[in-house]
Amino acid sequence: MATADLEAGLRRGTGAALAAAGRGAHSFLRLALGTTAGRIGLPIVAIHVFIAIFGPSLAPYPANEFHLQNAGEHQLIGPSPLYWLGTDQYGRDVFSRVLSGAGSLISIALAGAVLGILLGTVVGMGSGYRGGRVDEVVMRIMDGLMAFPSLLLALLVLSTLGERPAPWPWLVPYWEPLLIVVTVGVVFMPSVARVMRSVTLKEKNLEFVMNARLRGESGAYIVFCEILPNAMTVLAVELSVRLSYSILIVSSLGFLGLGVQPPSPDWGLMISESRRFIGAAPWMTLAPAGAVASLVVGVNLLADGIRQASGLPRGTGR
Amino acid sequence: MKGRRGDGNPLLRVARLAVTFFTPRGTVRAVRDASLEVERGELVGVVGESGCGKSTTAFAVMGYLPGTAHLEGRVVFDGRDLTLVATPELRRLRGNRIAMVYQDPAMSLNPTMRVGSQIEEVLREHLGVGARPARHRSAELLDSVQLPDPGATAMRYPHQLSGGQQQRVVIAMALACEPDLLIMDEPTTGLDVTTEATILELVVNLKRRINAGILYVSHNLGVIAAVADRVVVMYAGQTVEEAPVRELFKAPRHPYTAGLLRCIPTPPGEAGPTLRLSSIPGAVFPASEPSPEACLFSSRCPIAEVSCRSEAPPMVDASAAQRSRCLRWAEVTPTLWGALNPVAEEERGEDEPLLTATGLRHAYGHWRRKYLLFGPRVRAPVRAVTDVGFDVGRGRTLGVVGESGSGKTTVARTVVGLVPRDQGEIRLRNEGLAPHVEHRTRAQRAAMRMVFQNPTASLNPKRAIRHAIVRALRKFSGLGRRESRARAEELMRAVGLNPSYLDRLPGELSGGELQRVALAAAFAASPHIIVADEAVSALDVSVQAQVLNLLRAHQKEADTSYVSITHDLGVVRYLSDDILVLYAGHVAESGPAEMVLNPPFHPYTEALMSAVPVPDPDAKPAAIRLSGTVPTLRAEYPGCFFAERCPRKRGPECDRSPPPARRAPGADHVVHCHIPLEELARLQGASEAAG
Repeated sequence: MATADLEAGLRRGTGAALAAAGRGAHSFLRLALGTTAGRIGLPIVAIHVFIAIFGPSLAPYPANEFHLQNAGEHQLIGPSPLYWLGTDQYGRDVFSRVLSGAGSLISIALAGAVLGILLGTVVGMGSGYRGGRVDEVVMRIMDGLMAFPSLLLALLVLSTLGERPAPWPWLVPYWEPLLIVVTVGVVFMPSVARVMRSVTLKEKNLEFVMNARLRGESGAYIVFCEILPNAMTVLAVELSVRLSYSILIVSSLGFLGLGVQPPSPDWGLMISESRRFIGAAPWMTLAPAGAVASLVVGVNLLADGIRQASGLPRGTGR
Repeated sequence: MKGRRGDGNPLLRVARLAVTFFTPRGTVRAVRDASLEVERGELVGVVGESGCGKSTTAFAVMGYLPGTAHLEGRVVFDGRDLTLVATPELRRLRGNRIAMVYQDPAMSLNPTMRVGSQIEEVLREHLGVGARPARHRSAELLDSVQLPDPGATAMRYPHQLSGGQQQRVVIAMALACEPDLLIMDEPTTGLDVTTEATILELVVNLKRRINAGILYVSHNLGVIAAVADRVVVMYAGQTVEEAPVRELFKAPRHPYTAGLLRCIPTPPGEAGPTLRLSSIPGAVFPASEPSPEACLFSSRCPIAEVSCRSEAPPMVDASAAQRSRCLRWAEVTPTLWGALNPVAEEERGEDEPLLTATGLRHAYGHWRRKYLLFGPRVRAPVRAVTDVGFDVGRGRTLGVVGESGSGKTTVARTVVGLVPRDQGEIRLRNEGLAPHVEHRTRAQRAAMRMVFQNPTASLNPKRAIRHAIVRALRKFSGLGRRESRARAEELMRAVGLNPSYLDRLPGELSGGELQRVALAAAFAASPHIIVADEAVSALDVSVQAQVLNLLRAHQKEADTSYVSITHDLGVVRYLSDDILVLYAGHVAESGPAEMVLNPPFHPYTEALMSAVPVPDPDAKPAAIRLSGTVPTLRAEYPGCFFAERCPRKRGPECDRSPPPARRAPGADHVVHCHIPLEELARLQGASEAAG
């Protein structure tokens, strides 16, 4: 199986591990393609990823170029051969902005989901394996975090973190996206922790774990080298589910003006800015909204496909 | 018994049945060529090791095969070929005339319905009986399977019944429509010996009472000997021998049958020396291979010759009632596989015991209070182990026996430190051991290793075989990567496995192979003592024999001690020097094996012994039967722990005071019983003579 390869790789070096993880992802995707949901979802996601990578170079205009040559003539005009999806109130090409915005959204959302999975895995598996009082306290804290609606929690985290400036100058350009990634990670931690804890509870009483205890292995070794390889399927499903939630949260934060700041071509931000013109220029709202919606639908379908292929029940997330 | 063939139509005739599954992972030839007949009023046992196609044959008769199955041959029930009957017709037949009892009763019963309603449902559905008569009849049925208080039992849910009671309900349900053919697929496999014995008695009674044919599938030759009239032996999807039960056990006519019979450990009560177990070398012919023009058993057969490897033998008549799929059946004798040598009994000097446990106690859970954290204590923790103590000498084996729930596994786990003891002391080579394994030193952990029951769970399914062995070597022997690699290969050879298996995943190995890997990992640390928790009970007899022989050989070579936890008294007799009999977490009896297994026994030991199915059709049924299950002890109880179920209960004193420890003079034999040893000896001697 791919997970055994993954560990062999970890011992040999990160390059081999990535290759093995790639093989693992590949086998999951191949399985997912056997389901209808996967067959529809994968191409949608593939198009988005393609745009995220090549979008800026494919765009007919720079994302932030104002087309103000003849005052008023190029602002808020509808779709035309010149501007495929029309222009906004500053005369910027909406199509170019949508293409340029994909990259930041997908990478932030992916990084946030991955961070959430990492935090949740460590907390959930550690707490579940440790058991007893520690587990009780940690899980009640996680329950407390889960009691907040995720967007509210994100706002809370972001407003606590957002006050401080970047500690080092080189970090400045990445500071805002980093804050969002951390926010998403913290928001996802509790629900991932729950799932990973339940896997750990199931596995920790199996004889191979007892065998490891009798060998005198450390708790960390047992959790990450004995139990985690058996939780890879759950992890893959969890990542695909988290990703779609992550996209929604990141674009919602953008919409609320808490994420990336103008004039970045962020889809959430674009929807928010276009609200005032929704009557006069609906394309301004529809284009980024459609982009977000199709991405979320695509990722969700793909997640469903992976879940079906891995044989796990629905409804692991909230 | 009626004639086997030629008298017109048997109730069921399976002729040259072949079942092939086409799966994405390859073709599986589960049944290749199975033929058998069942007459009315006859019980036909189907026996063979796992993977030989016996269950698939049973399912094929029921028509319960998935769509991926391809079926050839004929299954004729009462003159009709079931392979040609349309589905609705088959459904009607299954309900009204053919019934089935499965291995796991908990899976056959609906957990959300009272068991009475489940039987009534069958009656209403298939016989169109009204509600009131159905209720009446269901009580009758529950009574007929000897369930106490049928009215009250009918009102219970499956989880409120014990495994044995559940299986009785399932049998009652199968009998509801008075079937002509009853198929039982390993109906006692998941049950305790004591429960198994009572169910087997019920089956024998049923056979006399109902005029139905019964097809009984089991891997246990002892069980088959107890219930069957005629036996069909299967190997690699073929029926290889068919004979009346007495002939089969006395004079097998197929080398495989002869081999199977010799893998069984000597029954515990039998006198005479412990005999070395023989095993059948090699592996079962793989189901993925198409049938060759050869005998499928020829690669493992001691009398195979050239012709066996060049032509597929047909079933031939060895006598009027016995048929064998062997070209050389006339040469098959019970001693075909060589004479059974007694195990060399070495006298060992009685030096200091290696492992000593005294006053072990463990309770699961906490006191429950009425209002969560406050209020009076309302429920006590479960006392799993109470005041258990024992010694294990160097190079000796302690066998721990008891039914499920008797605390055997908890004792094993407190000894190795997986479950921390609440009280008591464990000393290894005169060194006190910490309750938690995590708090013991590396040397202490290396000195005591454990082997678990379930070989598939004791190795990490996502890590190569190498992992378990190399990791143990590196943890305990401090070997480098290269050295431990070489040593792992040596260990694999020592347990009889190909070193190339090291790179495989556990899922690619069979149960017996996995258990040998687990042993290799245990041997890796050169331990002084190995705790084996039901190490062979999940394995087939022939594989079980291999593992037991391996354990004995290692003991002789390395002077290792064993603590062997098991419910199988045959295994205990084979392996143990000393025996500890546990009941409800208390020591019932302890002492040297030959004293514990011979009268006078503790009444519980006596009951356990008489429950063991003996692979001899002429064995007399035992006089003593234990009903019920081991109680869950919570609060302190004034009387004898066994009083509730004791077949030799004396009177009020048994309920009033704990039993005294009675010692046999001059030996370490201790029996915890109110009855004096002399009286026990007299009672048990008498019942033996009478029984």
